Amino acid sequence: MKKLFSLILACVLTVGTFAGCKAESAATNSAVSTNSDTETQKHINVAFFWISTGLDPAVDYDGWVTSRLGTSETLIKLDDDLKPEACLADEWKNIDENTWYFHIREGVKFTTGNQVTAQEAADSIMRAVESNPRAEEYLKIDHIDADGQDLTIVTKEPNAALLNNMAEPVFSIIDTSCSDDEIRSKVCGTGPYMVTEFVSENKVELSANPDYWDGEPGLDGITVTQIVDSDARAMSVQSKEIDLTNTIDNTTLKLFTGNSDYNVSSIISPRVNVAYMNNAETSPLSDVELRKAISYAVDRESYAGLIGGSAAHSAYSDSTPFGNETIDAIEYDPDKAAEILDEAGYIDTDSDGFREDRSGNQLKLKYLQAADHGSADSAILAQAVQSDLKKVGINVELLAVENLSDYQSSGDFDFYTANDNSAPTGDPQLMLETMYTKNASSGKQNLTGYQNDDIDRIIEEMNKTFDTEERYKLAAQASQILNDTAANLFLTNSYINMVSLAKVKNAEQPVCDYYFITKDITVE
Amino acid sequence: MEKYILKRFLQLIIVLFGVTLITFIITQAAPSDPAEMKYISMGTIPSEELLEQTREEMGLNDPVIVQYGRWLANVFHGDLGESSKFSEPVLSQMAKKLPMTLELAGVSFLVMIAVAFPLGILAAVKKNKIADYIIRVGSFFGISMPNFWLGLILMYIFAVRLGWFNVVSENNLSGIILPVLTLTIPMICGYIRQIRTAILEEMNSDYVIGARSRGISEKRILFFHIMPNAISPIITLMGLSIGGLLGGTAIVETVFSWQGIGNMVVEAIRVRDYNLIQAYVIWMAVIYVGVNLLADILCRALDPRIRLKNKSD
Repeated sequence: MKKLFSLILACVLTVGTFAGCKAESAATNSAVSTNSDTETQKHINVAFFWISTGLDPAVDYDGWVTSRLGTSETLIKLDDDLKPEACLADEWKNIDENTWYFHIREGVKFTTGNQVTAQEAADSIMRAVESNPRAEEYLKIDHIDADGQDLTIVTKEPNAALLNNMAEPVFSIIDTSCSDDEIRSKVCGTGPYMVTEFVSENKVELSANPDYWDGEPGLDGITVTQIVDSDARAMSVQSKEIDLTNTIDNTTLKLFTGNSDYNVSSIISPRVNVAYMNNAETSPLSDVELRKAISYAVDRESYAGLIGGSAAHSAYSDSTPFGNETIDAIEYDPDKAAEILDEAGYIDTDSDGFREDRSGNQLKLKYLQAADHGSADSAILAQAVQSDLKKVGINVELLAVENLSDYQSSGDFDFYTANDNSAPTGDPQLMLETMYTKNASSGKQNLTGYQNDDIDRIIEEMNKTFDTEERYKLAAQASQILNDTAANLFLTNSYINMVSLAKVKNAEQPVCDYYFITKDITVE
Repeated sequence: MEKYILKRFLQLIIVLFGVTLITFIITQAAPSDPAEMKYISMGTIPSEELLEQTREEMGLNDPVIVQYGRWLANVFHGDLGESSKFSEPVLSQMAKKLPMTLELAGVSFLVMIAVAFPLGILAAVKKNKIADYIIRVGSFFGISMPNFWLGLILMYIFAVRLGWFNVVSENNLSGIILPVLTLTIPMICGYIRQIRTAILEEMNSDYVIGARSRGISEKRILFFHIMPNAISPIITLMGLSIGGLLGGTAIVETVFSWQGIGNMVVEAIRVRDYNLIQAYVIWMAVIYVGVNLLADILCRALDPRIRLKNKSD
């Protein structure tokens, strides 16, 4: 027995010794940081859920990371109403259906020290178009003319969404005189911060850009670390290792809300949690009556209570200005769901508690669920939908999968879950075009086989409609059609949030998740 | 012995051919198209013409066996190809991630041995006494805890409440402790039970009773008679465990932001990064065959019965 205690004591002492080293080291680091703070340095530690393998805005979605880091900027930005506001371009106009003019702000410098001119901007945009098919599709560009600070973009065909699309971080304006390797590791952009060290998928060290055009950044330095797991991100703030992070799960967010030690900034984002329904003939959900019944059977309000956010009324998030208030939404009504199912011939013939299909065969729907952005929300939603559908006699089998694309490609699903941005560039066309027409062009594709002539007609009209309010009206029409045909299960509008220690100031979560670190964030 | 090792090396070559070919065929059979996945990861859905062109460039239109042959020929020239996900040579990507995995696996294995053996032996020697009960109950709890949950609990206690460690693991001594504990606690608890059972089985053997009757001390019986006989199956099991550790532990890597090989291969599988998947498969095959070879050699050295049996065969 004595030996056992000796052994346990030895283990504890060993761990204690390591911990002692760590505590000492942490204390030392902390002391250094504090001393520096009091002298000149304003530094914070930030956790991202994702740091890309490189920092070239033109590659894949790396521009989203460089934009969130505050190291790159686009000609225009999206405000919290998802409307364009001036950034590197201080003026713009639509000259004709195929021509857009931008005036590049005077006096803006890259972190390399070079001036941003229209030619530099044109080179950067063309580099993105040549490197990334997404960029090419966003602009439908024919050619660009540059003269001094005047930039003119001529498109191959009318592209009414071009202005908003210019806010996509793939169009971050970077100094193309930098080599590809330099861009990949340093960005060479115009943001309030510049990269001093980059470790792929791990860490980015930032320092203030002394030449920043929009005033002095609020911090001298920032260390950004990738922490994939949402709970680990939350604990890193609790342990004061991280000063600022975002995308904390709603259940965990309660630890910070109302606690004066922390700041919490939450906002409904353009993202919508959707359970996509397979409209193809191979799935029972090709029957619109079954889809409608399912839409009535799910209690969106209670889901919002579970994971945060708000109940979704349509394909577009409530944070978008696309006329959600004019749309008739499908409300929770399990009795109506049961009535539709009865009338459509979905009856429980073998008294096992689950309805059979119209031919009397077993009806079992396959629901694919995959984690998204390190969050548990999709799993919670999947279980909630399964539970609600069980109440109206619909049998749902949940499958947690690592890789949705295999199932999506083979069409081997009835539902699949996604947390999708309903207005990726603040414009309604992109989501509609990619998810609900056969002309899946950017980002995702119409994997559910949904097809509707009226939606196709609205897309055609959107291509030629340059007036913003008119575009929003068209979006509302489309949205109503999607609701009327129960295209998919629009479950909740997602909250996005930022959590920081109380000492961090001006960290406000923007509606558009292209942005995170801004020049205004500072520390007391 | 030399003949035996040579034979095992020849087996390794056959295994390598087999697993790489099977993996190649299985990944090719998956419905998603690597060319399409490449564009999806860029955020676009390519036209059929572009897809066809990309497939041609990537050599995906050739028969599987031709693709495999081409890949194999490159491997013989030391070229494992380029990772489509990470846009760099597979070897340099592996070289970046492997040291962290080796570090985590090595330390975990040593800790596991250092704790599991003494406690397993103690539980066996003190069978049905209080020490045995404590160890058995503790090991029962340890085995029952899933890695991700244990990791978060350890993180909460030691990083958040006590502030002894960081949530984000650093590449130093203190940074490795929580990931190692997360990995080893369930393993230690499993091995304690294995070791205890193996020793108890041997304790009832005739040769132990004989040794006792000759007045040999209990310590000597335990360490010089029982242990060499009991340890063989444990060593074989350890071979499998170390293989698993060296293959990366994606969940622990995710929770502790540890930049190892586990997450890398999960991502490679997701985006159908064939070259990276194949490199990983080679690594795993070498590890498993190599570690098991070492385990077999160790067993032969420790257990004369195996040596004699193989000689008579």
